[in-house]
Amino acid sequence: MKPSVLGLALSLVAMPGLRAEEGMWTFDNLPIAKMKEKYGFAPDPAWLDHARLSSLRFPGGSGSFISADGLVLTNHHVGRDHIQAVSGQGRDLVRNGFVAATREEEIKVPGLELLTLVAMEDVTARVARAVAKGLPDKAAQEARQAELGRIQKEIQDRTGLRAEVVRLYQGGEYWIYTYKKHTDVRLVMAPEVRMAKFGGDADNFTYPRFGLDFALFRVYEDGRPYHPKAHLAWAAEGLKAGDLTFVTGHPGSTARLETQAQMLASRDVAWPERIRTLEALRGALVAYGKRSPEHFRQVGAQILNVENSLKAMKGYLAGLQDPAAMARLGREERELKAKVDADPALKARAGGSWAAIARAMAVQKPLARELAFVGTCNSTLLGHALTLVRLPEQAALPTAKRLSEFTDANVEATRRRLLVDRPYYPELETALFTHGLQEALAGLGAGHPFVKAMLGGKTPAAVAGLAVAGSRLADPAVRKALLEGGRQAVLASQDPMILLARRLEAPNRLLRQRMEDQVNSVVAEHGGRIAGARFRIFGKEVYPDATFTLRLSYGPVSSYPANGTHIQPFTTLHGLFDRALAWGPEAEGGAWSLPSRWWERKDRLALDTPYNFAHSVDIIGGNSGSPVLNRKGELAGLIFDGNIESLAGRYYYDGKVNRGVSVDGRAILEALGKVYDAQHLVKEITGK
Amino acid sequence: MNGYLEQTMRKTLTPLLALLIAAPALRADEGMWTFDNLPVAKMKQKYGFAPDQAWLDHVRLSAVRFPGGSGSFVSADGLVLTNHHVGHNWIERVSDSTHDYVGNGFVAATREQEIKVPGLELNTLISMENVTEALAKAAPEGAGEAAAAKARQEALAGLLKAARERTGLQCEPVVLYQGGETWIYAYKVHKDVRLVLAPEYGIAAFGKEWDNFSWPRFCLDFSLFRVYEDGKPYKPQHHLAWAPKGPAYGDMTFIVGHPGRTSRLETLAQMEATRDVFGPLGVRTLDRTRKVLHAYATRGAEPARQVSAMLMGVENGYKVTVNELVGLRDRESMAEVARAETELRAAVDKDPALKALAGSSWDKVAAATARRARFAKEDAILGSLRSRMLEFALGLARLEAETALPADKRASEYRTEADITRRKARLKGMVPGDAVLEQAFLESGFNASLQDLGPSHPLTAALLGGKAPAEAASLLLSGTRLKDAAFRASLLDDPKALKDSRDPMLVLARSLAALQAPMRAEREEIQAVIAEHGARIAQARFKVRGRSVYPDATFTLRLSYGAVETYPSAGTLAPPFTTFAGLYDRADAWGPEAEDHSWELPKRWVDARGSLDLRTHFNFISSNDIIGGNSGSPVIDRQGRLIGLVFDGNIESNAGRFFFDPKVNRSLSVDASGILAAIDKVYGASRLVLEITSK
Repeated sequence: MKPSVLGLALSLVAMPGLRAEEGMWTFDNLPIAKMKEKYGFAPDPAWLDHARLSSLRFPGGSGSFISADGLVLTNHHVGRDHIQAVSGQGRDLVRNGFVAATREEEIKVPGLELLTLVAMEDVTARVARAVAKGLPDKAAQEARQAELGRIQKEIQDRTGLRAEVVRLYQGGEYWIYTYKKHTDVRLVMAPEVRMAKFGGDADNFTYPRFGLDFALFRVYEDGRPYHPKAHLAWAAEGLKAGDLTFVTGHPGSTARLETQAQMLASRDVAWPERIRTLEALRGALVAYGKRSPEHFRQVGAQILNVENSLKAMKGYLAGLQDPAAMARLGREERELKAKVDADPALKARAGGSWAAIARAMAVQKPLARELAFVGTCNSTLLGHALTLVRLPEQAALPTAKRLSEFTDANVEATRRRLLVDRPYYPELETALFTHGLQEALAGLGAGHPFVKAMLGGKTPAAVAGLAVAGSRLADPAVRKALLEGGRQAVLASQDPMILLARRLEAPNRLLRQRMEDQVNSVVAEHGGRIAGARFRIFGKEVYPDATFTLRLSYGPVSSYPANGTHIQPFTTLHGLFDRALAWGPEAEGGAWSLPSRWWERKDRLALDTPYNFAHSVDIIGGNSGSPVLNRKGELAGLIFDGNIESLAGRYYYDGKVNRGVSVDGRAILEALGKVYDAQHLVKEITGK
Repeated sequence: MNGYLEQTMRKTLTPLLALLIAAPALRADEGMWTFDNLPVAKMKQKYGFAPDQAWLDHVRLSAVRFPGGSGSFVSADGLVLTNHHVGHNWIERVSDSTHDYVGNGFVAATREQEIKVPGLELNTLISMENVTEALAKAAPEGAGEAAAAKARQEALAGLLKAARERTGLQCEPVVLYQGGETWIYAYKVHKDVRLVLAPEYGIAAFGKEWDNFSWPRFCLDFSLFRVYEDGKPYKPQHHLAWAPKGPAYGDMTFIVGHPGRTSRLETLAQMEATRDVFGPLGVRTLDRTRKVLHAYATRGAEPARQVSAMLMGVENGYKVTVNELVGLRDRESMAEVARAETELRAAVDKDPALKALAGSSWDKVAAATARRARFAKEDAILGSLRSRMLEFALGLARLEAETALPADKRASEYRTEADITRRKARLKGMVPGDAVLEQAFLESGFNASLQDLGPSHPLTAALLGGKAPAEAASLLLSGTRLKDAAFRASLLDDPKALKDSRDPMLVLARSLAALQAPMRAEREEIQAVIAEHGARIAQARFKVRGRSVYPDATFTLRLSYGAVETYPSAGTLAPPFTTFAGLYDRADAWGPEAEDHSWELPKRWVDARGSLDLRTHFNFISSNDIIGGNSGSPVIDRQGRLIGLVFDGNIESNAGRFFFDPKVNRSLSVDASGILAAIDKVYGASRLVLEITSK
């Protein structure tokens, strides 16, 4: 489960009565009364502060501090790219797992940054004041962006912390969240990927599951283990069916407030197109992996990520293809619109917004298709080159006019990304770039100006081969020199990737700007208007769409109807062996095979240890690695997935069947202590 | 695929015809094949193997038919293996309030302890004779529909009588291909059958009705009986050897048993009527019945025991009907049915002779089906009146009405003295149910009539007499004397007493019978049209396709083949096997209390935890095409040995009544090695292990 693409605005689901346990709530606005009424309990401010300060944001995922010495728990799949980054030839930590027997053995992960949410400030009123009445959409958008940029910078300067703009309720509210940033993060322990991803791509997004999807990192500061202000205590008692759980984490994006027009565009164009593109990419990666075991090692993690995204997208699409659900959403949209139309002031502001968004969707269709190809064509080096070409040009513009990754707030992260030293394989780079160019050729046709500019009459393989062979951008020192050399250095460069990037820059930028002006700003403006109207009607009884910022979800460990029966709320280690025996070590590429140490140590294990469980919490990609807390605020489990039914949760929450899937804390301890010889970590975690 | 659902057997030509699915190219492993017509070439092509005649004779003579299910001989001393759920009723029958063999299981430590099961009869199929041509000659040229049917019926009766006399066996007509072929199957009947071993219901139906029809499963759904003859264990001519191991992933599997009923050859119009009218009504009726039974079962352990088999059957029927509808609502599959039908009709229309025979038959079937749908609601209400006393009274009223007519005007099953005697004997055997349950059933049925037909409908008026449902039911029950066995006997034996009786239940039954009579007549008329035109379509289809297809299921012996094979389910691939480790996983996952103890392990299994090899395969799936009635069928390997025991299908298999979807339709079986390990390690019945495994 990974976050993907941004979603936009609007009109939700039975607002007055949200479905039970529905909601990814911001910490300033929890449904306290509802929680109390149903569970006789709701967290108090101290509970919430503790949970918030113990929570962490990973790139694309979530995590938490679980010891006073800065030990961090997250999913293996959240950490996988980083585990791969510290692996090397002959030392495959993804495949073989890793346990640091001492702190000295903990491995520093280059480029990994974790964030703790320190403060949240509502700046909605100030932003509103900065936008003069009667401004056209585009100007209003620019005024807003400019004001937000100013506020963000002010806070950053004042606190020395990282400040981010958080746009909630599709522009109904604007907040600044400030984060403490941890930049020295080391790998402590990772099980074998086979255990973490037991069942392979087949079992991904499903339940009952048997995944040991966790990894441990440690945050350091000044070369010593960091002592966080707060960390989660390990639950003294495990969960039972029916027990209330809380999840704090970073749901990436949902699209529950989109209008029908947006959802239909996603259903009929966006998802089918992206699925096609990813399937083609998957094919290219698999073909590359077949060249040798070493080739496979290089792309293993990437294949899993692509497969993961594919299954998720197919699940979203299936949600949108459910006629009953779509009819319900349509009805709710008509109801909201009727309420808006019944109030002259609301009607004047938002009555036409649905139609405006529908028109924007019609514009989006051809643009999105072109933009899918007019880019860096799966080449990492071309990506670096484009950044280098753009940095000086963009810096010359006022921040509000820049592309999003070059605004004052974001440009630092962009420069840092450019300089990160990651494993680089020229053969892989060539293969993927060739694939990307072939896709553009097939998708746009040989006569398209972009294709002509990139290929110059040669074949994709020839262009990619020459560019990769001739480029020196794989060397971070070369990139650094160009970065520091500024416009002059970049202009003087004859690096073939820089030359290609210059040809790519204008067509890509113009398309992005058209998308921004004719689609995104319209959707933002009118999504905001509908959200505003919705606010007037329903207030904050509803929660905002996911924004990859800290949220709280809650609900009990519970079964659900599927496959003709009621699904078991827990699995146990018994079941892990059952599944492994059922398939045997060979079937489906060994997807359900166990590492030998699990067989060797089977008899030591308490096989009735709860292993994974299902609970009714409203989560989505980005929540991966979120801690599962009990009423006492202790750590009882670790979110790692949702069931297949949860994918439709991108568009609507169905409490009957939508379930989060977590690793039980008891199984993590059992595995650490009895399989991975990491008794020292058990001791650190439990304090015993 | 539990209990009574094994099959709702209809011996005569009830359902009808049509065209199946991609007929020229059947889907992989599709088909419930008769033993005279196996797709040998296809099997060989896909698996490099097809059974020879000796193999087929061996498995046929090893197979047995149970009431509503299947089984097989598994030892030279007449030991019979079937499902627990096929034997459930019979195990319940030899139980009493102090010996609950259903709940606690039963193990006969010696042959002397084996318990005779009254009334249980098993059949072995000895021979099969095709009489289609003889019957075709019986109908005179140019006879009308009714006359032709009558002539064929009479000819068949004569052939059956002759066969019985010739063989001394029980001979039954078998109508295949909706009348395209008629056969006479001759069975050896075994009447002395004894219970040998039954595991606890809790492990046989582990997961109870929740897990029924689902996968992965962990059910020890087997029981052992023994056939006796002349007081001694019977030595069957053939029995299945027990394979030393169950199957491996990908191994070829054969299933030999008695699929009860499919409707794959129905016309599109018939399937649509089931989807839109009959099916939803069936779901409603079953839902009402299950609610009554659940409410009754919560009154205590003894009430729960009384209705456990019935409840299981009704829950099962409910789940089946609901998921059959899921299948029928699958647009892609129905489009395929429509496409195949259009193709066949086009082929028929091209050939003048076929067109004359069957060109209009689809429309006639459609019109008849539409007519039938018009009183479907009334049928459903009458079917939901499950009070045993009312059933008794209805039987009596019917008997009274029929016997008042001259013999040639009566319904066919009331014509002869023997018919009447049989009817009376059946009524004599009917025992009224518990008063609370009778009240609940009547009330529920009365409410249903009120809701579905409205207060002014003649049926509602007859049932309620203007009163509220609860009141009407309790008045009936307090007023009737049918509780009294002597009174019931007097009504059966003394025509005058019957005639003079104004017992309120009987009065109600008489008015219901009067309402039913015209519906029955119309239904018979409709059935005749459907039977006739179904047969014509079948004949036309024969001409076009030959016997490259298999007939709909008829609760007669069939062979299906396939392999241990996964399928996509709930976002992943279903595991091909489960193991004892998985049994404990599921038990621990739920704990003993959850969902009314549905996943609670019996004590023997809790105690055996340490001594079992958890790696033992327990249940498995295979791509064989089966349906209700196959319960208890042996799963056989290429060598003709027993490797498993069919006990269910997955939830997707319910659509199999109408079409076989090889992507997801799977049979569920208990692994032979799991059964043997349980007999040995959990039930300590080493004498049976020895008997089963001895060469």
